[in-house]
Amino acid sequence: METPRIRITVTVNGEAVSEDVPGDRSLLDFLRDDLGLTGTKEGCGEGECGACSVIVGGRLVDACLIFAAEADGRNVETVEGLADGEVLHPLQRAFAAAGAAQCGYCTPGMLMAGKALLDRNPSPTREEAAHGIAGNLCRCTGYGTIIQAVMEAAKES
Amino acid sequence: MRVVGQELPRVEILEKVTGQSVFGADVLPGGRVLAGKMVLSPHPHARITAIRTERAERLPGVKAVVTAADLPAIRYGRFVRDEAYFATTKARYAGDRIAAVAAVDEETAEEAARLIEVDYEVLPSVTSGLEAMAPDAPLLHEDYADYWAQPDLDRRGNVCGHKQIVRGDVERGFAEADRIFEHRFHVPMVHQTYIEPHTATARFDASGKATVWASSLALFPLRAAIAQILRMPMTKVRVIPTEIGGGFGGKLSPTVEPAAVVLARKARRPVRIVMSRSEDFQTTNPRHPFHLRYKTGVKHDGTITAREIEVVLGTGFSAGSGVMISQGAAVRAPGPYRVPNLKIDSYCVYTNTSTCGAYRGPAGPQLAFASESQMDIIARELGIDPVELRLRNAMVDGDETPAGARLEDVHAKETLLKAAEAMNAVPRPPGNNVGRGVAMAHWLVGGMASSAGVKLNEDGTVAILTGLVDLSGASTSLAQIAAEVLGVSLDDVHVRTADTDFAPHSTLSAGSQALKSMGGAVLLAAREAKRQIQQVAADKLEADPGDLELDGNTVFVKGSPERAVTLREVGQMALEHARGPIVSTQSVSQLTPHPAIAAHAAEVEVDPETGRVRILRYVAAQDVGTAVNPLSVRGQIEGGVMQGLGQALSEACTFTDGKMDNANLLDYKIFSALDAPPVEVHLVQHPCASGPLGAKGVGEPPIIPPPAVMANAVYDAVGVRIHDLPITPEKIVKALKAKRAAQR
Amino acid sequence: MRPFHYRAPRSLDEALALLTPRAVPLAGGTDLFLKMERRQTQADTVVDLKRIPELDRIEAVDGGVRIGALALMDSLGASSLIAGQYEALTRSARVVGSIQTRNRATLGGNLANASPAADTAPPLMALGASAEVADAGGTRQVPVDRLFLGPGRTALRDGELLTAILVPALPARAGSSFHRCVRTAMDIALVNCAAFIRLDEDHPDTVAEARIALGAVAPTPLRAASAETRLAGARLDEDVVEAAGECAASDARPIDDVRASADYRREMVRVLTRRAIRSAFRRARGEA
Repeated sequence: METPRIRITVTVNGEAVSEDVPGDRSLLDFLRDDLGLTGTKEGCGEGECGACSVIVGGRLVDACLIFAAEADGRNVETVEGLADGEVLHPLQRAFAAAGAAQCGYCTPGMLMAGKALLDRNPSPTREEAAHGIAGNLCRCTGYGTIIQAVMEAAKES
Repeated sequence: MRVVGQELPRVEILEKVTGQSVFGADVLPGGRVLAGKMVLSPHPHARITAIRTERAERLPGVKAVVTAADLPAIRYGRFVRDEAYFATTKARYAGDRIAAVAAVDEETAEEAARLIEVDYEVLPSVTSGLEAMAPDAPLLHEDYADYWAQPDLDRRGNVCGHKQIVRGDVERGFAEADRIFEHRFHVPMVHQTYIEPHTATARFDASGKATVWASSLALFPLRAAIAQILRMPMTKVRVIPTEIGGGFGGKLSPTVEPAAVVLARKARRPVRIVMSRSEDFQTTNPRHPFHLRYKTGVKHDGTITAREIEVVLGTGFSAGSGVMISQGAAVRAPGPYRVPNLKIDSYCVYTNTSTCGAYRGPAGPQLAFASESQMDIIARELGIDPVELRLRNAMVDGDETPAGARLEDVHAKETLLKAAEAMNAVPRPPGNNVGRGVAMAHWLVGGMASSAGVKLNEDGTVAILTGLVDLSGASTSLAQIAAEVLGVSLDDVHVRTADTDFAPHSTLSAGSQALKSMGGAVLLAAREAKRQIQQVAADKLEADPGDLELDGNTVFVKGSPERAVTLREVGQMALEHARGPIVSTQSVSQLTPHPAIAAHAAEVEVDPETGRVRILRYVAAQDVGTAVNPLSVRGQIEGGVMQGLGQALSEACTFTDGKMDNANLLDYKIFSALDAPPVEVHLVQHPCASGPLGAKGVGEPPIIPPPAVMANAVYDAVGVRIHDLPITPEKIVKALKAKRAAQR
Repeated sequence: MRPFHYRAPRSLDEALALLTPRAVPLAGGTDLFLKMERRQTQADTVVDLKRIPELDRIEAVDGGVRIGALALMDSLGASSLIAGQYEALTRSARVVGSIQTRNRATLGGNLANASPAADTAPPLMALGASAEVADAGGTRQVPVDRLFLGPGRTALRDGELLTAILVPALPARAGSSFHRCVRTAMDIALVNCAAFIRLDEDHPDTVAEARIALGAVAPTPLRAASAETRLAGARLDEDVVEAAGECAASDARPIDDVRASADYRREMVRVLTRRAIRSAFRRARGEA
């Protein structure tokens, strides 16, 4: 037996897409391979690193641990939808200015974690900002500049 | 300076914050890409009696299966030729490569890998370097004596390299000492744990040319390795760099790239191999585990009279860079101190693990943990302030390394004082179980063969061409250097890391020397381009080239800014000018090494019941020469500190029966944002004579002191000394229990 | 993964009909997804419960709170209904994994997965909660105490689904607490411990009733029976707290593994039990 395909309709960064996907396709593979949205990264495939963080139905999740079918009918936000055309999101501007992206691999997930936090809590304390990105591992920055960038973006937006 | 010294965002930052950067797994090589999968030995040490691939080959969707039979029978290695790409008769660690498969999708490739049958006769194994030195230890390479090795390498059994350094007379030094201290320390293997796992994509075209998209820190050595392993001329191997999701020395040696190439050749289709996190933990090049013995003689006033040091480094199943790292360890083992009498023995020993590599500051944290823990013990025993003891012995300009190299631009004392001052600026909080610790370490930054090109475009913008894979922000700093020399703004400079077919030979992103080497080459090339610009502009301005200055995108006569020509005009004029387009490629090599000092201090609170260590404050002072881009420099320091703190408190690759038992991010504990303390960074800036525009290497030093700082702070807080990293809550609780029992 | 059919029923009845022995229910999937990827399950059908309305509701019911099995950890941690009286449960829900995990993981999944280290299990055991279990024939209640049979094994029978958790109302003069011990902030518990203390009506320093539950120190979450006995009827002073910690340590049956040694775990049972008793006591007295 092969895993049967399922028709799903997902709104990705504001655009509705309908695709036939195998039931075992992860949301991460769906985004990267089927939709070509490779901004979302895979770091461990086990829900430990947060590199694949996207926002589904307003909640930050690890796309590697979800079946694409589970996102049927929902809104999915990825790093590609963060900027408004040419205009960067305040988080993107703050990350750039603070040096919060070094190698850049954790950055898409970090940005989405930052967005999920600010969507819920527009003016986080430093500690709340740290909690907001605690599920996203970064090995380059030591986190200080990322927390700083989230706080700066909060001031701006 | 106008551009150098500015805090500027990285030149590639927009791609990174929009998700547009192309990393290893994002590459589209054209055509449908097959999924590659490695078949790895499950046993740490076993004789291979048969490999049967037929069942895998018959599986629908499988396009290629390769083993050692698909490669020339060669062994390679820079110091000892002891490594074959695929194991043939023996697997030497749990993770040794046996075969590889390529199939239409990941699932099929995994299934095919499971269908490859290998018959093993399991042999006794050893994962500890110290145990591997024992006479009755299992021998990893029975034929080691027949292997080619670099001449003068002292090899015996599992010892594949032994470096001894003797200076002065260590016995006399101990005789002169008032007190002698001897301690043993152990530092387990730790892993770089970049967030992007190793990835390679390869295609093989009809002309027999291999193209490899690699997430590598070392394009040219990777090309050389692939050419060697597949016995191909370098003209037939093209390595294209992708963005690299963290490396820290872990992406210097070939891992899956040769397999991707040979699979692509056999399948006649592009192949991509992406390591799983577990494979990445088990089959890449982590930090060497060390056993250390430090014996130090001191006068009552704290002056060191002698140090006798023994270092045993477990290198893994092949020598790899372990020989070089053990030799470097011998040179840096005494720390940033003047030690008149020295005897240092550093052993590089085969073990049944993956081959350890050059994790950021190789050997640094291990040596500093031992040396700086012992300095702390000595200070307490002698009743001297730990900072004072270090100041009394700190090396100064003109001192020599144990290898006899004379050091200049040493700022050990100033850097240490800066860290101490910053820590002392805030009073210690009240309460028990709070403590402070300090440690100092040095790194030696050399410079390696590098070239870079600088050209002036017809519109007056500047292009830099390198083959350096940027991780630390080096590209931005290179652009700043060129902008500085050519009088343009950073926006007018474009840096391009080209592939091995196009780029001038460039150094690796390693050893904190990327900026020193490449910056040196860019500085020379920019200066030559400037000379050419002056030549062209001089004709137009009817002035002496030497009287022309470059600034604000114009060339003008010194003292008469109205006599000017824009760089855009120069760029166009050059095409009509006898001298032709303005372009220069320059090279450097064998640059004079300079020391770089890191001095750190921390304040911790230890929960004596659970052993949890909370870092209340962390101060990092570093001697950086001219900070070309302070934003990048601070970023390097903060990140290095956090990796070092992970090694100090929570990280270790652990093995049971030769297999790593925590090869995942749940059980290999790197710091999250909630574990990370804010880091107070203090830069000590004195232009360094041997660095481009005065810059020093900055990447490695910050990772070196943290384990020692934590050991010393924990001792200060609760009075127990941990000699074995990491300093886990469990070890602290156990030590406190033992201490209470001893007091009873 | 092994091939499977993905089903997303819209009602509980539909879901129960789909739950054949080769079917596996999917809630948050934070554990199941990896089990499937590692081929640790033989399931040929995955029944996604998230489309069933109201299975994630947290509501006040007669004599307590009813928590739908699909309630997210994040919702649980944020619920004022819970925070008002079940401090131990709130705390445990707030520390499970990362935000990403808490946005997916459900209470039902955390329990049905039957990990010895499940953070919500000890609080529910200490609070005297029951699991509501349904099959095609109807529903029954299983005390959370008796839900776990071994690592990954529960008292649920084939075809049964955990649908809700019922937590009895917090009595007067009672309080609960949750403590745990980890290696770094983002970690599975090395040891976790929940305490429930109800004080005597006439003697506010005396324990009328105590329940102590421990996680990650036995094949299943565990009630520390001798610690509870030691506390019951005792005037709660430091000696009693100390003794109860000692009893809990002897009730625990920890093992050595890659995360911690048995010795350390036992020592942490001692420490965490003392701390949990003290905090529950303070809350029972209305002090915190």
